[in-house]
Amino acid sequence: MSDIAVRAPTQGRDRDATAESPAARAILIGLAVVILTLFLFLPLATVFVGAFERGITGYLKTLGDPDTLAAVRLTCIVAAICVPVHLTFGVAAAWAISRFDFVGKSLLVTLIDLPFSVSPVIAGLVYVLLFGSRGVFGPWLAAHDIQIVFAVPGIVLATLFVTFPLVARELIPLMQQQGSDDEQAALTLGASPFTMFRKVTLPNIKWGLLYGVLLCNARAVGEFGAVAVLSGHIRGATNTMPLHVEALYNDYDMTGAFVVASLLASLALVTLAIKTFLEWRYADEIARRRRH
Amino acid sequence: MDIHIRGLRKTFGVSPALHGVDLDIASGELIGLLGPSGSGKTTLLRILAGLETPTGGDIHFGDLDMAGQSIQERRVGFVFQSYALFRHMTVADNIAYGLRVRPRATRPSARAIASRVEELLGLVQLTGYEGRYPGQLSGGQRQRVALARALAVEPRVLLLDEPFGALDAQVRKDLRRWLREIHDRTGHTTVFVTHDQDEALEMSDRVAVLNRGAIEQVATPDAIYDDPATPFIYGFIGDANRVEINLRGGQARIGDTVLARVGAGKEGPAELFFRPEHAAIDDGPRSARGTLVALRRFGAKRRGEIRLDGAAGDIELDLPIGAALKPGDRLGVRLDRFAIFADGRRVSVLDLATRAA
Amino acid sequence: MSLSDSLVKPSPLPGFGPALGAALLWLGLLVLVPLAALVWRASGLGLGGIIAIATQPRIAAALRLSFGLAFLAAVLNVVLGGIVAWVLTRYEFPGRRLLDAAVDLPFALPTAVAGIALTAIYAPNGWIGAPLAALGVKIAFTPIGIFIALVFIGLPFMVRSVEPVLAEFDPEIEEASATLGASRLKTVLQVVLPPLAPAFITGFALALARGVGEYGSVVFISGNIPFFSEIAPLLIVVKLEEFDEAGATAVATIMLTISFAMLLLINLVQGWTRKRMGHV
Repeated sequence: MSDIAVRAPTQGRDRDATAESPAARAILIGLAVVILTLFLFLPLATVFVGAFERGITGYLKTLGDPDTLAAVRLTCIVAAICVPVHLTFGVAAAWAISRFDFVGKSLLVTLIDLPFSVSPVIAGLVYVLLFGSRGVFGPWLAAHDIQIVFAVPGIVLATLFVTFPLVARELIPLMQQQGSDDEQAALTLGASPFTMFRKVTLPNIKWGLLYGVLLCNARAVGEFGAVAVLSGHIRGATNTMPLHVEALYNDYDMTGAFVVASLLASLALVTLAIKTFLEWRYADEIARRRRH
Repeated sequence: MDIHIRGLRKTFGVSPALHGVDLDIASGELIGLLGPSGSGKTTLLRILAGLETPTGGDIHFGDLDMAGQSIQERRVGFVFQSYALFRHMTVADNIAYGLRVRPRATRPSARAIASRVEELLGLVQLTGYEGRYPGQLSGGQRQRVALARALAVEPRVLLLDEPFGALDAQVRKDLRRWLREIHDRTGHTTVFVTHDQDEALEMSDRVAVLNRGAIEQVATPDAIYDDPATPFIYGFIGDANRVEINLRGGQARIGDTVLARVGAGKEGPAELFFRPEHAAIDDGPRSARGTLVALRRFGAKRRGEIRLDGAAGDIELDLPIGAALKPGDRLGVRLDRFAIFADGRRVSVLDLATRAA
Repeated sequence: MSLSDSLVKPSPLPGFGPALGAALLWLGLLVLVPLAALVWRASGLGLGGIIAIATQPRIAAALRLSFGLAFLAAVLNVVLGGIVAWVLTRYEFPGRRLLDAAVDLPFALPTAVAGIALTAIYAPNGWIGAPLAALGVKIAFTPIGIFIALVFIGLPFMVRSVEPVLAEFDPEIEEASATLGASRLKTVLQVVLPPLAPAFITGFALALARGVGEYGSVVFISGNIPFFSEIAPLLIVVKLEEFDEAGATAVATIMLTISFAMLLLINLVQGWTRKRMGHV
């Protein structure tokens, strides 16, 4: 919700009469600043300070390392698979849920949110149980020489699991709130379902969609626990960027770890900046009530 | 408790909300602040409560200067437009709140609070509802809880902001009469804000009409309706006709037509206001001539639109139901009561009814 | 009326079948089938088998640590998140927008990054760790470090749950309390905070659920010393590395069961509170 919407009803009124004393106010603001500095800004600063420990050349040297580049490449591949999958199916799910009334709808909504209540490590575990050598499909996969666990497909699957709700849960409340009047109007005017979707639905939800994609991408790039279980931790092959951070950390190469971490932190900052911009500029076009 | 307001000013940023309001309210009086939105009526009420700080001027409750008195110290009963009930408290807890939050030294005993709550529930006719939550009450019932809560602290004055604004028409009508009864029984000095003229005229001992941050007139409902002090009140309250006239030689004229004789005084362009029911069809010598343009049924009456000779616009008039009139008829119009304003100031009033008596 | 009519309300809009089909396929393949594998393996172990594994001292210690610290961190976040939400919605001051945007940082920052950053800060040679080490207080590689990481990860859940409710709180309610003679403190404690309880409970539940399962931001700072600073999710990883899938399954099953039971309980409390707060 934008500031304007929150503060509009109080315009032209003093609310001093019900405000805290200036001292209480100052203390509370000070506390909030201390809390956020301690828990948010300080860790962020550590990452960047640590990354440039060996100066700009040291920074670039770590970046140019083949293992680092491989990790970046793998992370991009994972994100490039996860985002389109959840985009497509998230829109489909949101369409079914927001535009139709059917038996079991609320169960479906609950199940879509389910991966959020599952520890990422457990998300990794379930795929081991399914595709691992002693898993349900293990023997069959071995017979056909297909490797999922400790390989890239496993990493992709685990990331798909943890990013599962992100697009859909942005779209469902947004589309429910918008209602289907526009779409019904388009149909009465003779639009084909495809035209209706492209000309009416998509423009209405584009900012919410972008918002969801942004969050989905950030999580796909940054996921650690689930992929840690499923990756073979083979440098240059099955290490994503977060796993590479861990590998460097375990080598006692703190600076190297912070260099890779700084790339991830930068992406997080860009994500936050775009997210804040979307919330400010398109407050009404992304879901009113955001649930995390 | 009588209230005295002197030279009250309030500015929000750069936009003035009140400029120089003077108002005296007698002890036990029920006074309505009436005005369009943005007229400053709610700001005035909130300043009385201490919810806003005035930019200038002063307020006395009796002999007590309110400057520097916090909201908590003022002991006003304020009924908010949204009622502002505490949703997580029962009706009884809402009503008892003002007594329970008192410092221990002045707090009544639990038993005294309970009996006070009981008494107030009886007063607002909600006995038996003490265990309910506000979410389980109708709009009218919430209103009454809000009133009981405000009365519980034995306020010096009772202030109500659009008390019936959120209710539907029938409930509103019942509550008006009922609030008036409560007032007459408890005798609190009461100020309420409304934009509804019927509400103000029906309930108030006196009405203060506000416009653009200033009081236009303070008077009894009769005087406000029959004898408005400004063109704004004519326009804002009831129906009124406005005719652009010329004052010349003691006559109010439209072009060459003499509309009325007003006696010597100001000369030049002016505005004449009269209400539709304060004029009649009459072919006598004091009437102005005009043409009937249209006829409309208007509740219990019939209303005619008449173009006076020489006038630019039409006026409206109440006509006898049975009269055989049709559009195009020529007729005379006699004004029984009107007021003339030049430069927004009243220069002349005529009231044939009282003069004839 | 055909069967499909009774299952779905007729609508003039197209695409119900394909959209629902796609959604179910997506949900089924990615979420339900994998979770079913866990349930299947767990049922293979049997209740007795799971309890036998859960009561192994090392596993019991890790579960206690994970749930206990997640609970304590969520409790602290009620206070910290409450203050931050209050300040961000109630006061206008330079930098407010920046602070507001920064609250989401733990959502956006990869957990491994947060993990090594927090470790670096609180390690005995870190910015905060060094002065504290001089006083004899050790944070990194102890349960206190885990606690700090869980506060970090839970803070935005609390702030974002409370913020919208606080922003929409009707100021007339507070004014009413003031006109009735209540001091500012009494108004805040008796009139403003109680209706916020459902929002706090929501934030608490989200922070708790996240904290119990959190791995990346905790595993670096915890030091992973069995019986001292080893968390339950790490134990799953350890068990898998030991090819003890039964052990991993048992730990996961217990974590999920307790988590869902807690969420259910919190939902019940929530329903009761909402009713109590007059959201009828």
